[in-house]
Amino acid sequence: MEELLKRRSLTFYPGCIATSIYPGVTYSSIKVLEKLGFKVLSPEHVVCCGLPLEIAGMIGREELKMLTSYNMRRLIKHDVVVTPCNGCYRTFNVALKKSPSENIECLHVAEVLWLLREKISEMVQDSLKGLNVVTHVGCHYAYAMHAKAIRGVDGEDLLEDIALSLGANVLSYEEKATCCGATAMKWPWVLEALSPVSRLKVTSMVDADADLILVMCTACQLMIDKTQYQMRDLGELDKVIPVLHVSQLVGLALGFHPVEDVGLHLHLVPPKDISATSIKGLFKEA
Amino acid sequence: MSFSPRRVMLNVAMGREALHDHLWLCLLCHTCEAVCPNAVHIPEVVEALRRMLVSRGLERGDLEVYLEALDNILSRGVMMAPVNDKVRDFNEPRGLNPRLLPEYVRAELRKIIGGRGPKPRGKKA
Repeated sequence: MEELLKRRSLTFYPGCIATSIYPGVTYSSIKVLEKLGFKVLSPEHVVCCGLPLEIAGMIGREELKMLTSYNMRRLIKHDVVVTPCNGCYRTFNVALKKSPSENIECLHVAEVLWLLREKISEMVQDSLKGLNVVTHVGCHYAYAMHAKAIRGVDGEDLLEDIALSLGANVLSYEEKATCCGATAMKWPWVLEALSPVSRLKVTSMVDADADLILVMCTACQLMIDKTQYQMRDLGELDKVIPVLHVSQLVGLALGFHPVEDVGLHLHLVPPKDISATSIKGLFKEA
Repeated sequence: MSFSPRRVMLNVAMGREALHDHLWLCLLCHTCEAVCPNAVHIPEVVEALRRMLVSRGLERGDLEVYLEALDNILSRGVMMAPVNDKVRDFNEPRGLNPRLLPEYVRAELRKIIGGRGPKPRGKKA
């Protein structure tokens, strides 16, 4: 993996949720990667990896392989692809494993940030000191790709390592290993009734009394953001916590603008003070 | 009702009919696969059983939203358009809004994923 990063050039593939719900993740990721010295290219067109259709029973592994091959060869046209979504990461890697002749590597943006965390740490100089975070790596990375997934060195997982390198405190919580429920089917069920798994996960995270929730998957981000929003509306949660993708948090630590660059105003649960001038002011009561 | 990977595998092993609603409770989180002592790819089995149900037209009503997602992918590449004006306004100056796919891309995608999904009830795939 380190060898791939030495090439200093990659294509950033955002996936559907970063494109249509949290574009701050896309913009932060691109700006962070550029700040770390990469030339970042964009696909000619973003075409869905196919995971939503796969989990709905509409397409199988063969179609996923064909879709990945078309994406890689005709639209992405680069041999190093970086994504901020566990679902896209898992789908591309499963398909590429079945087609070893493709000679293309798909990395997760969290993996790149983890590999370069010492450099990032030098650049930000403990700017998150005093912030308490809880992390959720996500099942399509931790479990679906468990043979390939990076585990923690300084903390329990790669997100904890990154948060610690930024100077944050990492809190533990009861349901850390539990799924966020993002791939719960069927959608009408999910929309009408909150998934019990999502409820359990979010309640446990909020009870940990963290300042923010750190994730590395846009689907997990959507589920945890949306579940808190709904639970607060139903009177089941007294307080809610912003959910940030790791690219957004690193971006803020590097001094990016919370709205213009990181897009925090697009979240269902926004920071406490979106106009705060310091990163701590965004998440902690003045 | 709760999901049990063991119950799914037992049904398959016994050659019983798939448990319809039960199959849709699986989150496909792969946790069972990661800890399975026999390295069984349980999510792949669940997905295959779901495809059988879908191809028999049993799930059309509940999966309508995925037909919309398929249409969106075939036209703009992504499963849903930007969800509101704020997202569109953020995307626009940064060149991040999804564009209509050119016909040659749409034609290729139709070959790979076009026509997939729940069939009308009562019709065999």
